[in-house]
Amino acid sequence: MKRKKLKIPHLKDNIQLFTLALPAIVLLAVFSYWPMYGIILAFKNYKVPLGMWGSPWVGLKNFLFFFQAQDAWRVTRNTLLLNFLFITVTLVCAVGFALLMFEVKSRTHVKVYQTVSILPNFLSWVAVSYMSYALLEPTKGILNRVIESMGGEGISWYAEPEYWPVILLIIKIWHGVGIGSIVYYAALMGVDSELYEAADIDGATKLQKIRYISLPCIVPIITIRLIMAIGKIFRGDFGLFYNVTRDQGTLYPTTDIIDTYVYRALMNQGNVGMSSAVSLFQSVVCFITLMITNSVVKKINPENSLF
Amino acid sequence: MTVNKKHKRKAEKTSWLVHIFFILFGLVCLIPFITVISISLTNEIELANNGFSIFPGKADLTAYRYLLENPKIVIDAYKITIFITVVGTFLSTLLVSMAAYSLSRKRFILRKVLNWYLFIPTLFGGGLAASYVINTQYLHLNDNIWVLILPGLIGVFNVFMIRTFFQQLPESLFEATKMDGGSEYTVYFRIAMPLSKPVLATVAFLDALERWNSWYNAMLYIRNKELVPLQYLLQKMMREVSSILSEMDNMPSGIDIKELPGENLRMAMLVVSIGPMMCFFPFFQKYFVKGMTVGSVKG
Repeated sequence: MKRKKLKIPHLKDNIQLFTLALPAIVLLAVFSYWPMYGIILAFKNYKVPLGMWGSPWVGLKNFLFFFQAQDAWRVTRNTLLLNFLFITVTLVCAVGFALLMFEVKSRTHVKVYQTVSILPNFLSWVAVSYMSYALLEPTKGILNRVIESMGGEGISWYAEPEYWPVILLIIKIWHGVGIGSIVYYAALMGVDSELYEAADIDGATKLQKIRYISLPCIVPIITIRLIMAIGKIFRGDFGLFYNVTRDQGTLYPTTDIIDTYVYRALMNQGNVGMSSAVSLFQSVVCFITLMITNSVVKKINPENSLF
Repeated sequence: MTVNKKHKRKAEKTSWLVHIFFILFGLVCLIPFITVISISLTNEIELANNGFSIFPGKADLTAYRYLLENPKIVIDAYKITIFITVVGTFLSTLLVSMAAYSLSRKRFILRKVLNWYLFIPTLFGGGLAASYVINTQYLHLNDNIWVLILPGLIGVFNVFMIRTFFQQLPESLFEATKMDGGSEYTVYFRIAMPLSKPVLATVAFLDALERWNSWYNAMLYIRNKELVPLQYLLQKMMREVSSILSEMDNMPSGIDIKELPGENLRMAMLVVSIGPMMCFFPFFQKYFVKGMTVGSVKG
């Protein structure tokens, strides 16, 4: 009698729904959850024949190895500072871009401008690295030819780390501002036009309309984008940093980030343990920042929080 | 009246400046493309003497003739890229929307559990080394074309996006089908899926672009020259141009040894690789625009 009460409602439907979700469940188990278990490699000295579980435990040795080297500070600082720079500047540019786009009243013009400005986003970072190479190549590159034609002296860009934060920032904006502005532009299009008409009657200037109508209306979207970006502040854009710098060792002081470091530790040095340890470190700090930003936003405005 | 006119004139003036801004920005977006085409059309000797320039002097087709004489490497890469894009996008869109459908059904008792199961991987990851060890030592996926498809098949944010869409469909449609004796499969394939074509198209296009542009997994796992996709070929071409050149040893007739292509061949390879896609994708811009605006859904 009791068993009957435990019966799952719509049993047949539930089985069918489960089978529909099954491929996704299996794929995530293999390619996401299994590697999560594999994080034990961070505490092991991995030996291929012994396998993941069988390899000897080494405690925190992999972490000590990373933190005692100068690299830990360098890659963490680069990741944080460059991402901070990217987040703030791209946000301002994308919002500004959207506000300007909102000023364009003709639909055809908007369409043309949008299409062209999105174009770079269709390129992979590999393709972008060809274009930056055409610009920055020391003897033939466009930039040095311009500098030399104006009587200046060419700069060997791929050997001078101090310029790279700015170079990467410009390339990042070039690549993403068009597509990044779309979400803000769409939000602006959703603003009730009566607000602007009322402002016109009151004689508000353009800037006042932006300050008191446009910006407040897109603040919720800005916040949610910002949490998502800050939550990922310890994760760098590997493709950008690896391809566009052409992985030049001389540029590491300013361009080596956690992700490129993890990659090199694994592929160039074959140091599975340390690579895992750095990934775990990254995952943990990433998780903490995401939790903090999310709870801050939840306090300010629960509607905008991520979860 | 005069006040009104003044206002209007002021508005026009601003929008004129706005147009200038977008035209300039558009040029900044387009000039790199033109430069690449121009370099690919310039003779190697001229490049060595005068460097790169935005516009070509005398059009020279040596680099393209060289590619035409040695087509195998590019054609192979195209085949691989097309395969991983088509198969990957199809499977991904299908499996993602299947999972999304289950998540959208209130009667599915595992809904909450599954929601968390999908959400957790967006917060934590095992890292590169763990994935690498599992894919190479346990699954033996290195030098296997499926390593370029399987690992990224379930885009979790896409699942949530499609789920939200399914939830907005009227429940009565589903119930009517169920009344007629249809199973959940019937409801999914006959009702939910056809009704969500626009959102599925958006997801598919974004996914296809990502797959077409992917090189990371190839860089990690592919050593077999016959399995190299386009973007990885480009990456190799940038890093080790000589090793690629050594595979292309058919010389077109009438070429001086000094004119042997180098930089221009690199750029020609880029043009051949991204050209068709750059002509194709902008026509589907509305899908990308839509993808950006509905993409930010909660977990």
